[in-house]
Amino acid sequence: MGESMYKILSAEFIAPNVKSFVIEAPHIARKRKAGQFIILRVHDRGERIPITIADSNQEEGWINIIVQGLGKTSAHLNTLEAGDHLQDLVGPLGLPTHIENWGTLVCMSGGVGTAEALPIAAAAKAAGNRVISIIGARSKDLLIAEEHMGEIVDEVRISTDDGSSGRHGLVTDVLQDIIDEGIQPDMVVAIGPLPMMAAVSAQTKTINIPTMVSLNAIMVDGTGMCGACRATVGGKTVFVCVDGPEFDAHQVDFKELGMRQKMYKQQEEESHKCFLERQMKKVKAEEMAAGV
Amino acid sequence: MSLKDKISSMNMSEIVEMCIDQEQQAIDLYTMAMDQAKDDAARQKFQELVDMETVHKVSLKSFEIERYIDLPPADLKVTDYLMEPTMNDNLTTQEILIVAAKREDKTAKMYQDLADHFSADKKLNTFFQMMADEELRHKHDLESEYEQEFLPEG
Amino acid sequence: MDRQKPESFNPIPVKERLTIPRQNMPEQDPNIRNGNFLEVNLGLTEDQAVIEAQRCIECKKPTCIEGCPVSIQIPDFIQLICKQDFLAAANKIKEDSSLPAVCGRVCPQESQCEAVCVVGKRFESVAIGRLERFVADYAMQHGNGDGSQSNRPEPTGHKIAIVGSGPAGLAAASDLIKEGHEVTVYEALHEFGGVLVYGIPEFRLPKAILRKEVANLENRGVKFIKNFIIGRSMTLQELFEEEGFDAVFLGLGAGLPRFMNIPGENLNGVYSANEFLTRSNLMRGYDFPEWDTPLYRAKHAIIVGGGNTAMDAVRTAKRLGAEEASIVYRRSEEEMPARNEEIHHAKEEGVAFMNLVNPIEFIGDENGSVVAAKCLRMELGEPDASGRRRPVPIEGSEFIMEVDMVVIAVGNGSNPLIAQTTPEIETNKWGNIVADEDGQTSMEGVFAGGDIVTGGATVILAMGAGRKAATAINQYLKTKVGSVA
Repeated sequence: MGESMYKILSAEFIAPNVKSFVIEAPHIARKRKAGQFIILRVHDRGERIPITIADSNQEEGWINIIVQGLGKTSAHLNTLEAGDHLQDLVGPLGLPTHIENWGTLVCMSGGVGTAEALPIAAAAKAAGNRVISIIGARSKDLLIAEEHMGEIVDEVRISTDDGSSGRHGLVTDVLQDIIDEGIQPDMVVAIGPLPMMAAVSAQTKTINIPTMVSLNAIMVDGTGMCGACRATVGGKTVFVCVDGPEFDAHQVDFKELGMRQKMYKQQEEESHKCFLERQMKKVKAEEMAAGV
Repeated sequence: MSLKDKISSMNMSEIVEMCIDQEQQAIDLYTMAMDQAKDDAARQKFQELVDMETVHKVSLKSFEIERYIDLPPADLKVTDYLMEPTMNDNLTTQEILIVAAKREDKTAKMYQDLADHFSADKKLNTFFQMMADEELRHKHDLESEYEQEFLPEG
Repeated sequence: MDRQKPESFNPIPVKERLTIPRQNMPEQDPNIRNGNFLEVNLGLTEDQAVIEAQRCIECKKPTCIEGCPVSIQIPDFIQLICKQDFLAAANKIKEDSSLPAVCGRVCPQESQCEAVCVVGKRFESVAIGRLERFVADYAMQHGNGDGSQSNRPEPTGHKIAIVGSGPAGLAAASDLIKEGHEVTVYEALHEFGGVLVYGIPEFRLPKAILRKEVANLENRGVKFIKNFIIGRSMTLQELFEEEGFDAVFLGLGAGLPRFMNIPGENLNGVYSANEFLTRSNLMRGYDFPEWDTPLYRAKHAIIVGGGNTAMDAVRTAKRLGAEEASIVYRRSEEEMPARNEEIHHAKEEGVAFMNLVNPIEFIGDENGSVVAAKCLRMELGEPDASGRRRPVPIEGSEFIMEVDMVVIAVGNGSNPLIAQTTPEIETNKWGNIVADEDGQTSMEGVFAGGDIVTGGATVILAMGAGRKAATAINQYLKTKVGSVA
């Protein structure tokens, strides 16, 4: 095994620094359900990082992931193209999303979280829910998957921090608009950056709407063996990899999780810097070679 | 108000009610643990505890209990400094043992206070002392099990 | 016992043998090795090995065999060393053990074969473990490590899946491929070896040795599939129904770290031993940033626990540059479950031991990073069922020490993944899979062994369980499935 595995079938940027990959993975495509994730390594000295599965096709044997190039590994990953191979890929991991017919579901997402919210929105729609999607981004060019989301749900609303698209404001402002219009959501799902999920959770807690969040934690093995991904939910320690990744938002200790996400901030910056320097050298060498 | 002060302000029926309430809470906890337990050995263990606490509850009516332990066992204090798990119906075995040991500790202390309170009444003093010893023994057993399973190399 | 006494190749009279001193294995200097991850023990030289082998007095009733969980024919391989036929000695070991180079390094021989060595009753016991290691390494270096030249057995047509590539799984695979079955090993991680690769550090068991052992099995026909989680990527039922396996062996290991349930355990810088060691060993965090996985490099590290895992973690922390790396242990050194050799090595390398101390809280700064540990002093009270005296806290003995890293190494439970996805498999109250003496579980055709059944134990016991289950699987295939081929 090895060489011919985990082939990248297509890779394209869908927003600045955000790339969509379709990867050959028949076993994972066959098993995965909404809300589950994979762990991958880019190269033979690479770290293991978890990424939520955005889409898959059982017949064609592929999965789709959306990657934002934030740290070294994701930046490196985003240099890969169709035809390249990943070093390692394992999944599906985590518990599938618990879907039921709640009535009206508001699916709130930010950043690449929107891609991760697609399968949940689709499953919720299939279960008979009225689904309203709220997509947030800093500005218009950073919006992703809003068209795809539009094909799935009953209604898409957009907010941008700078007002370049949709409502000028945050996703929480849009939720307030919806409520002010007299729509009473029965359930909220929030997927995105931690501060956004924490803000949604705080908002829905005061107005008593059950809310589910999909947590991002630092992981190593992803099978419950190491405990790197622990979080406090309802006063208890959970392992996000096997007990989650989805939890009752109102029970989550977001502050602790936020600090745990920054555990290796310094090392990550160092690693990212090394990578960028190496990339620069490579580009320069190529330029030199081309010049000669 | 400390438990000691509280006891001195209570009448006998209030004291018995407090004790029965304490025992009932233990019975409820062990019954829940028993329902959650996945194997017969664990179920049996919690059944024994339920049975013993039920005997306690009954003996509080007559203040008579058969003495079957000679010495109060050493208090290992293994769980004294551990966090009290949030009570819900989704406790892990580790949490059940912690909750149970802490409960036995608290109950033992209550009976010890009662024994001290009734130091002049030989029958009541002996009864509550024995109850305290029994609860301490339960704590000891629970903590031994905890050590073995959750601190095998600790 | 109906075994035949092996031919003697020892020219030295028995009385004189007892005067030969036990041969010390060369090691890296402690002050050098505590700054690198290279192997600590360097192995006996050929001359040393022969001298050490000559110390064996060739007892009529060799108790050493009984002391070995897999009953290696110790007197036989020792005589072959005396004969200087090291390859034959290696093959003799391989008749009973599938991973001699690993076991020669990580087995607690002092409490097994060497503990019952007759020489050891009055003198120092024969260094059986060092001899095992020597011949296994010799065979590897001289191209006879794989047994690939031995004839492949007649295929039986039976397919067996092995879940987990740790010591139990590898031992089972080795025995089952010998019988001519088709054997496939599934591993969840990206490297094979289970705890041998993620748990045991390079300085105790070099990865290269393990890779060779795995390659040997591959050469003998075992199929290895990595990045595959039975229970998630495929269920146990599907292994039977869709993949056509006739039997399954579960050697999943004790993959669930125990935490202490004290305040501050989720602070940054507080690790489970599994995470800390996995980051260092499997992910090679000690070579960060050349390797991508980050790892804390602490100034003042404490490791809570007294087992081999704790020793591995504390020696790793020291090698990562800790000024102070300390073991914090609730009991006294006498009660430590770790091997003496590990404790001894740790001390030589400058590890501090804070015995009869127990943390009750970890304290963090505004960023959520651990900066101190609140501890209690303990005293020893009555002995428990295992005879270890029990520690009891001393009232009012609380004290606070500055630390910037904590590793919790109090033990492991069983990983619940398979049990969760396979309700047919009975588990006990601690989540261990229930299996009988032969490894048979409550699900037909499914066998289990190693830490997933017994809870945290040793590599060699897991291998023993793997071998027992392999025998039982052979029996099962003969009686239940019948011969397909």
